[in-house]
Parts: sequence; C-alpha cells; structure tokens
Amino acid sequence: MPHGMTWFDLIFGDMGKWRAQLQDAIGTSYIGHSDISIQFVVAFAFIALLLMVLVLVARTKIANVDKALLPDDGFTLRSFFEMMIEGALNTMQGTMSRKAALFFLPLIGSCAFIIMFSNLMGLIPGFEPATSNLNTTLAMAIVVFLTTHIWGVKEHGIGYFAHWFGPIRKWYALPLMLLIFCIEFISHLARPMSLGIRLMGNMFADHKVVVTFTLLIPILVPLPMLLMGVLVCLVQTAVFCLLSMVYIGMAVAHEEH
Amino acid sequence: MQIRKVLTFLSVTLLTLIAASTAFAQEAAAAEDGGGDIGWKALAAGLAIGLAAFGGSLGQGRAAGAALEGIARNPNASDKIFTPMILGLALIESLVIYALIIAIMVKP
Repeated sequence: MPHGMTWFDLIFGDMGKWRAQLQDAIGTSYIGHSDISIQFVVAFAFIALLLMVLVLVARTKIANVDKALLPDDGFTLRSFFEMMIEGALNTMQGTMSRKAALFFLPLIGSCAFIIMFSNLMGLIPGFEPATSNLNTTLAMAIVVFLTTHIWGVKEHGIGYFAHWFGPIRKWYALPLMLLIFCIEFISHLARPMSLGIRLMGNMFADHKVVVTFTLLIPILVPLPMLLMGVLVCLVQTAVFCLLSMVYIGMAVAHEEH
Repeated sequence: MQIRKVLTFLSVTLLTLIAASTAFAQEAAAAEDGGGDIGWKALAAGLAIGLAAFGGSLGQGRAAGAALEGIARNPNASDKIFTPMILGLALIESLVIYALIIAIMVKP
C-alpha cells in the first residue's frame, strides 16, 4: 500500500470529489495553511458512524429496564460500554460533585470513546488514526476549553476571574496582581494547546514507529511495537479525559475558604 | 567526585560536537546550496530530540522509581498508586513530544 493510501481509498473509490468539495468549503487549514487531507475527515466520520451504530446496538439491549437489571455475563458490547462509562463517572466524582459529574459525563464520555476508537483504528495495518492530525485533537481540546470557561462563569458569575489576580487583591499589590494575571492567562491558553499537541504527537509518532518497523521486517518484529501502541492508545485516552475532568472540576468547584 | 567526572565528560562531549558542527556547515555548502543551512537544521533536529529524550527519560525514571518504591512499601496500595503514576508519566512524556514536534518542523 503506497504512502498516503488507506483502506478508505479502496472502499470509497476515488475521494477526489469529496476533497474538492471540502476545499471549496474551507480552503486550506487554519494552522499552517496546508491542504486538508481527506483521509482524516473520512476516518473521523467513519469512527463517528461506527460509534453510533455500536451505541444503538447496545442501547437495544437495555431498552427493557426490568430484563436488563442484571449485567451481562462476560465481555459483550453492553458490558464494555457500561465498564467505560462507570470508570469515567467514578473518576469524575473524584474531582467534582456528583451532579456536575452527571452533567459533564456526555462530553467526557464522547471524547473518551472517539479518541479510543480512533487511536485503536490506527494500529490496524492500512488505516491512519484520525487523531494523528492536529485539527482533530485541537477541535476536541478547544471544546473542552470553552466548556471550562463558559461553565465557570455560569457557576461563579464574573467573579470567576477573580482567582486570576492572585491571592492579594488590594490596591497596593497592583504589580503583583498584573504579573500573576499574565501568568494565569498564558497558562490557561497553554492548556488546550497542550491537550491537542500531546495527543497528536503521541499518535503521530506511534503510527510512524509502527509503520517503520512493519516496512523493515513485517514478520514478527512489529509485535512489541504494536503492544506498546495499544498501551499508548489507552493511556493517551485516559490522560486526555483525566486532564479535561480536572480542568472542568477546577472551574466549577466551590471552594470553602 | 563522581558527579564532577560525569559533568566534565558531558561538557567536553557537547563542546566537541559544537566544534565539529563547523565541518558540517562547510560540507553542506559544498554539497547543495538550496537552503545553505541544511546541516544546521539537521543538527538542530537531532539535538532537539536527543536532549529532550535524555531529560524526559531521567524524569520518567524518577517517577517510576518513586511509584515502585511506594508499591514495595505497601503492596495493597498498588491500584491507587498506578493511576497517578501513569498520569505523571504521560505528562512528562508530553514535553518530549513537544520537542519531537519541533524537530519534525525543523527538518530540512
């Protein structure tokens, strides 16, 4: 399979028409002004459709509440979803109250599922992980960033920004307040960047390593790299969601002084 | 005394590399002129990822060592130690990934 070609080229035939439509609609990417590769868009859409189908299948199993009281025996689709959602909810309750955890669970859960499925898809030979592109990861990171600030302001009013001025908020500490404000502003700006770049860098480097090993010796040598790839995929999902939970939890927390 | 020897060795190595880079520049200028600083760019990319991997591995070694020591003291707490250890390792590794991105962007 030559470079830049994935199974989507074989499934959908020539995707040039889609790329032309995409280019008419958007032009070049906002970051770096490079051509938008159609592979990532198709891969992301495929992951979204796959997830919807899987979720609908799992949903039908719990449609009848009385019959679905007992969990399934073994590792079925429904028990997989239940495991992940329960894990996410338990971790979220560590950083925020139960009401807030239940409220933000759709966002964090969607991010977790999309990132995990995209990452794992990249390990299959012939596929490219949709999250190895900065556009995908930065989109999710920006959504989390906007969520933290909008809900922080909703929860605390405009006094949400009072924490950015530091511990001493009197008139005689004005230089200190300005300095701490600059530091907090930049650190808040660096959060979505770091979330996006961390995920993108890990997936890009991991995919490149696996591809290089497979091209060198395709028989047994890529196996340890694939195992490490699985570990990296799962850990990166967990790190993204954990950091998102911490940021949201810190934004909506009610501290008792 | 040991740390002084290590530091001396490292600084001598670094100075040798920097002194040798002038040879790369001359070679690059003779080889091709398109982007006459292709040697510098290659050196920058290699140094970026090399130093980042060095520092990152030291940090991750300390984090994993502390986690292992905690598990050795109290094996029952291994589940509670595992999650923060993985989180810490991923955060340290993210700095190495930033250097990798810069190295890929600098690549001639």
